[in-house]
Amino acid sequence: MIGEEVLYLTVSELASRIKARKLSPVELTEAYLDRSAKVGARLNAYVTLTRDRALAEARAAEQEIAAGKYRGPLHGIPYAAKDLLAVRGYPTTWGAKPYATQTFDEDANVIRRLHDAGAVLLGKAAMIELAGGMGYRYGTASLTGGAKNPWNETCWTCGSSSGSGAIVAAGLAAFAIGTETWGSIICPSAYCGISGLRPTFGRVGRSGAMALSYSMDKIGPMARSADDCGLILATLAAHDEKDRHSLPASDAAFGYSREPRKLRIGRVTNAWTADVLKPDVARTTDAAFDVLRRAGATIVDVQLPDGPWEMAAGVTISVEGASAFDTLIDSGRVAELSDPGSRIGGYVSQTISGADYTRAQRLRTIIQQKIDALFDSVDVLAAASLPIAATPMETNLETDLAFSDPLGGIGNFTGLPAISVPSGFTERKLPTGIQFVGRVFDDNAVLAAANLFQSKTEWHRQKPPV
Amino acid sequence: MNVSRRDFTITAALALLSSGAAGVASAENPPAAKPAGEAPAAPTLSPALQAEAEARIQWILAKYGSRFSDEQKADLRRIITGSMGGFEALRAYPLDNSVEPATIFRPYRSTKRRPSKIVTHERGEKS
Repeated sequence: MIGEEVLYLTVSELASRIKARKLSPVELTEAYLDRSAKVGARLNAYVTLTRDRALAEARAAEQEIAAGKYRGPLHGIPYAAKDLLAVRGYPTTWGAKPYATQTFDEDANVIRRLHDAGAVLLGKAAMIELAGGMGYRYGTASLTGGAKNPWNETCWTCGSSSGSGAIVAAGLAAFAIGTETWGSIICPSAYCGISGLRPTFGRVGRSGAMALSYSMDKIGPMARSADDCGLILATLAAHDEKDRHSLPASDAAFGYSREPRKLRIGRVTNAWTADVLKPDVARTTDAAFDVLRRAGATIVDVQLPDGPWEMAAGVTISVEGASAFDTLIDSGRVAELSDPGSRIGGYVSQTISGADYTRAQRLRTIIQQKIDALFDSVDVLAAASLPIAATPMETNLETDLAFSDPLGGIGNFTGLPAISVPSGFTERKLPTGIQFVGRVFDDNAVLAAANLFQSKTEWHRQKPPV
Repeated sequence: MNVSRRDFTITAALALLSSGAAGVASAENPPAAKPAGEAPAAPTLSPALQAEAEARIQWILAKYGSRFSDEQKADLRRIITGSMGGFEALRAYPLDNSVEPATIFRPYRSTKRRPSKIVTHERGEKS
């Protein structure tokens, strides 16, 4: 019988036990499946449990390891994948009713890579419909309903990798795969008190993944520690010949380094305006900077360049999303989506002109150069991941939560790597997060900053009351 | 022209998370510290931007109008009108002619070898 404490171990801790044959991948998989069936159902965390596949992969892992064929740190490790990644033999719903019975003949690139590394797929994680591609007004915008936050089940997990956030936080899998176009890994990681890494754009191949924004979609790990995220990214990162935006092999390859670095951290003073940054979040973020300073990092204040970057990023997502889902919009089947905002957002996006889209791409060239120059003086940028903690499920995101997010906008628009790690709790015992954003290709810098922070804190070791 | 991000691109950040609504929702005018549930204030637009917003609304209604309820039509109007300030900022940023788009077109040529055309001749046929 595997105890709950084992289900909350990090990937590297599980891996050392599995490698030493002190922990059975089959028993671990069964324990996660049982917990996923019970707790996962209550949280609306999964769309589908892939039980048969999971047990087959776990048995194969166990046999190989017993035979001395250990593949590496993900061998025999159970995980969940956001339901926009194709998995042969199971529905891939994209979180949306019009695609509820959709199937694919092949696994997505990342599913294949994880299979080859010996990882065990437990199930398809719930998500916001079409990854929010048509816009949405409520956290319930999903085929499977709103994903409940394990720290407070009346609150949302954030999206669009909503199930992935709940699954990792509630100990339903060792890690999960999420995707981010703008905020969809960072926000659920912050709300759910877990570690989530958005890799440099193009580093993780997207073939077999639902497309929302061809030039902004990224795939990344969500796990219990930054160290786990580094291990998982090392498996995921590689050129993908079926993804036209995939980096060349030499740039896509990622060698995870645990080597501590002397870090110069730029504290972004205009990431969130003072009127939206909640006092609880300001407090935990200030404390996090103190921890980093005491740990030897140099902290300097920096400002993001001023300009219409968020609008340009928004135009890019809107136009590419309207094209990616043009048949859905034209057919009128967007009316089947669950959220009132999702049902009309695509029509609005169709009215954006080609001239505005092209101008957005030219502005992208400018902000690429400006933001790169900022990294001449710092290794990473840092700020609160979100200015608030998790909000009630029924919150109207349009009217009740509207604020500027220049660091997220610029970071996603220019393809910068970023990680969110837990930084503490609000008075209501909801997690807060701190994000580190790095220069293109320097995913190791954001991991080094997060590792440094987690080496001095225990926030990532906290368990929710599920 | 120095365009303040604060003035124009206050976004409904959570509504945008991986969202195609970014260009849409960026119209939410300064939302901070707004009482919960209160709709964003309608932005003040120039006559040209008002006309452009109206043209966009009418394009949707002409193409798809029968699909929408009155409430949805009101939402479309609110969203589009609200987004126009963001477009004004996008267009105001000075760009030299030499600034190219960040996304790059790559000419394509297959790397697969195609079989050369095989010419067969029937016995006795002149080649």
